[in-house]
Amino acid sequence: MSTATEHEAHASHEYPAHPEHVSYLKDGWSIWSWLFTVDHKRIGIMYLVMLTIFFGVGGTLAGLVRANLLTPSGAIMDNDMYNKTFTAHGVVMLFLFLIPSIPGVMGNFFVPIMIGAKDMAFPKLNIASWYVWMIGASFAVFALLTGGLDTGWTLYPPYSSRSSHSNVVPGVFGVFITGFSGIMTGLNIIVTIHRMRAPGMTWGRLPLFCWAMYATSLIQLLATPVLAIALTLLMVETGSNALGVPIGIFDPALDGDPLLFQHLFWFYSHPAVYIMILPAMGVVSELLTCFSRKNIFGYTAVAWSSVGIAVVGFLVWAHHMFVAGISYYAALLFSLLSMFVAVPSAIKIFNWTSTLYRGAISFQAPMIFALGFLVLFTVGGLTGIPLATLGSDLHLHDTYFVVAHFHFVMVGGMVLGYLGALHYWWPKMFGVMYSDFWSRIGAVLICVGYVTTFTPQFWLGYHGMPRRYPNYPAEFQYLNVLSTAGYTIQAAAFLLIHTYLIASFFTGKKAGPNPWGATGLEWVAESPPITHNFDKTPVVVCGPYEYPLNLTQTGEKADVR
Amino acid sequence: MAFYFDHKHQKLDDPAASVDKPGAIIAVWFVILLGVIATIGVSFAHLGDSALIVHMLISVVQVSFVGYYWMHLNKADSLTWLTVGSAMFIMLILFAMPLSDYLTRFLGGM
Amino acid sequence: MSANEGALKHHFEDIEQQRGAERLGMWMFLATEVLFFGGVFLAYTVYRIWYPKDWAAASSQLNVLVAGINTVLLLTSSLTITFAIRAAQLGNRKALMNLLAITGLLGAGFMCFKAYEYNQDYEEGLVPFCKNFGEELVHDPDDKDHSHAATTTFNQQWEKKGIAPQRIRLFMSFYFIMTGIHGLHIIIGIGAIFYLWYRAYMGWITADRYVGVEVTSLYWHLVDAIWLFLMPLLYLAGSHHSLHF
Repeated sequence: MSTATEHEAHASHEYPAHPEHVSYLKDGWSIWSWLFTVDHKRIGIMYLVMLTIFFGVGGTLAGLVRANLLTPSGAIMDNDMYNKTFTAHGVVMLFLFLIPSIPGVMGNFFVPIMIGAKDMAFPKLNIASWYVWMIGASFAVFALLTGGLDTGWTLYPPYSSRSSHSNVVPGVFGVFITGFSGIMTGLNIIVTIHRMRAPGMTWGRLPLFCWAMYATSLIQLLATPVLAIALTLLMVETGSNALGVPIGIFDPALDGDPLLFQHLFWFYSHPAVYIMILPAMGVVSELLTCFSRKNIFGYTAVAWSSVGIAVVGFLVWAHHMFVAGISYYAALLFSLLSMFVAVPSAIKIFNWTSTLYRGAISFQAPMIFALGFLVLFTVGGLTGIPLATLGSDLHLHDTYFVVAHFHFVMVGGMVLGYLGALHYWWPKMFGVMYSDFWSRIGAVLICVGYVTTFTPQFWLGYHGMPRRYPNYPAEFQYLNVLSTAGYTIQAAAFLLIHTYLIASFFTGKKAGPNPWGATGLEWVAESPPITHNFDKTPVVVCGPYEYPLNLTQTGEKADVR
Repeated sequence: MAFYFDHKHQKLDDPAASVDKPGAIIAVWFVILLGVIATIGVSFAHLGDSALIVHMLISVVQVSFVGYYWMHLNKADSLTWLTVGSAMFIMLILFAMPLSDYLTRFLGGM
Repeated sequence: MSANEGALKHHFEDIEQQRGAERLGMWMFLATEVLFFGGVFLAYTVYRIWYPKDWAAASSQLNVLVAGINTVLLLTSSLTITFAIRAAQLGNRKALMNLLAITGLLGAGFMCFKAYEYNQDYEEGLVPFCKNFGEELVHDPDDKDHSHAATTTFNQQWEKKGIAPQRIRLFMSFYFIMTGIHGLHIIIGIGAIFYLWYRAYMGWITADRYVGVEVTSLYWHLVDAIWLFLMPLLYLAGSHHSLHF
């Protein structure tokens, strides 16, 4: 077709001459070629390395928390140390792992490839976002290492501004800086998806991962600045208290309102949980279609439900404040709206289940993670409903029920999505394949471990054990011990996963461009991709999940190769 | 949906094609200046609480002029308008919903 | 088309895609700035609803004349930067440089008046972080003999009117935080404008590379727009009897 050849002729004319056809990994060996890279794939790998380290730190802190809860009155540390440990666990896991994880690694690496572009819209902004994140992480880690924070990750004043004698300002400043990194990544992804799609890549042919990343980026862009201002005001108040000239922006003793901080804080932090889960949902769409060899059921519904979650997610934040002192009428409004936010998530679950129906399902590791997501995220989501209901929330707020709920959606949802994405796209990113047998064991073990860890916590919470308390009645001990045992299983599973993934670099089979026989544009590129991703701009002719027709998006056969 | 590689229909972004007219730029400046004088003047008029509404109305008109003419929203594509609209929508939520709490606290004794 | 080639960055297919991306990116960044200021505007609004009397009393102590001058300065700088885009589009390097320089200088003038104003506030004892808060001798507007002499402290005046000093402190905190963050944005903007001036001086801004001037002007206009809201909220929340200075 003449237009296609014109495209190809013109497009290939535009690419600068590249000396060899090298993969992005081999394109420059020095440390400077990595630290000063603008290649979105290298930036994704840099995020991956740091995220793995931070996840290890956060996980170790979780272990310390759980170990302390083995006995009814603090097994291994005093109360003050316990406050600092669970605060550190929350801050590290949320801001240094969960929020940047899939956007930073798979978003950066794959969104440009999936839309057929050479790079992100703003490559220098991309590398800047990694450095900004590292600077913020440095402040946060410094604060945690030099005395810690004992306020809980939610940093509520007036305790954090007036009474806490811990490292509030540097810790908060670190979180503030990491927020900018999220805004930069989000901005980059939105502009890239709007302006840099290949010919033929209509919105209706965009992979659902890209729809999910787009919705995630919308939230990052619009919600994070409000966190920035909340933290700025908190830092000013804390600083003024430290200097002996207190002002009371959030301090009731000086005519301030502590709920104002909570409003500003949760205005971001609730949409933040959708920043965490939406990319994982995007990944699940990719995994379920590939490993059941079926087109997605209800593409339009799944695509728009991502946007719907993003929009409705902005309307529900005060469900974290039902017992804090907001007006009864506001509580009614937020409770009603919180019920609505479940709808787009449920739409996805139903569509994914229908995708599986009568598919040719195979149970490789990515699929086990995706199926685990389906079940565990559903449980987590459903347990949100008694929390959104005013009457039951009165009983459940600030108990372990809440802890179990958010860990189910964050670990059972987000982390399983992240691991599934890592396993699915590992051969593409590195050109090597890990052990199929051990990866399946690892995936199952993670799911078992984490169900064991968090299911007892629903019972604990329902029966009244408060969160963040190191002490509990003796009759709860067996449930706490069971939960800690589950942690041990999870820890073993994570060690196993890291072992075989790292081993794949040394003993793994070389992977071809399309080891899963998948249909996305990223599987048309080589494994690992060349620096410019494609030899020439691909022309998209069909949708992203044409498994029944066995076609990739460029119209070639989607065979395993 | 226009693709940016559709070379047959590519709009060449000719810089000189959409230049502002000097008179238009200055006229906007004048309008906004009038608004500044009005806003300060209103605060001397002893309107009390309703001075706020007048002030905010004047500010909204001024910012609309800045946005529409000086920031070239009058020539911008629908995606830019969507960006502005999204920001305004989220701002609306940021104001309306916390105020729904602050304005109804202790109402009816609850 | 060939004149555009030099401006084209390697990962874009053509110049219109690149310009579209750069403009969209700046508009999205402006959206984040709007939400950032929106948060502190919300906080201000909440306390204005709660403490109208104290808010009015505090606001009437601020210098409206300086605020008015600053507004005109900023407004004029927005005018000149809009003309700068026009100069860039028409390839008029001299005019571009002059207009950018004027814009930057007007912005710097804004900051100079701000510094003067902050200093005046300190001398009147209105800075909440300082130990002399409320303790400086100032003119009492309700003074019966209209002598304009500085005879009482703010603390004494407020006590007479039943206004709580910690609420004035709260207002002044908002004043310094809001104008401070705004001032920081002005300083960053001035930096960007002088960087543009440098690029124009080196001849790197040509008619087909004008988008840098345009996206910087978008940022500058937003900072101006925020000031247009900030000024009446902070300076005109109370009633004024005269433009005291």
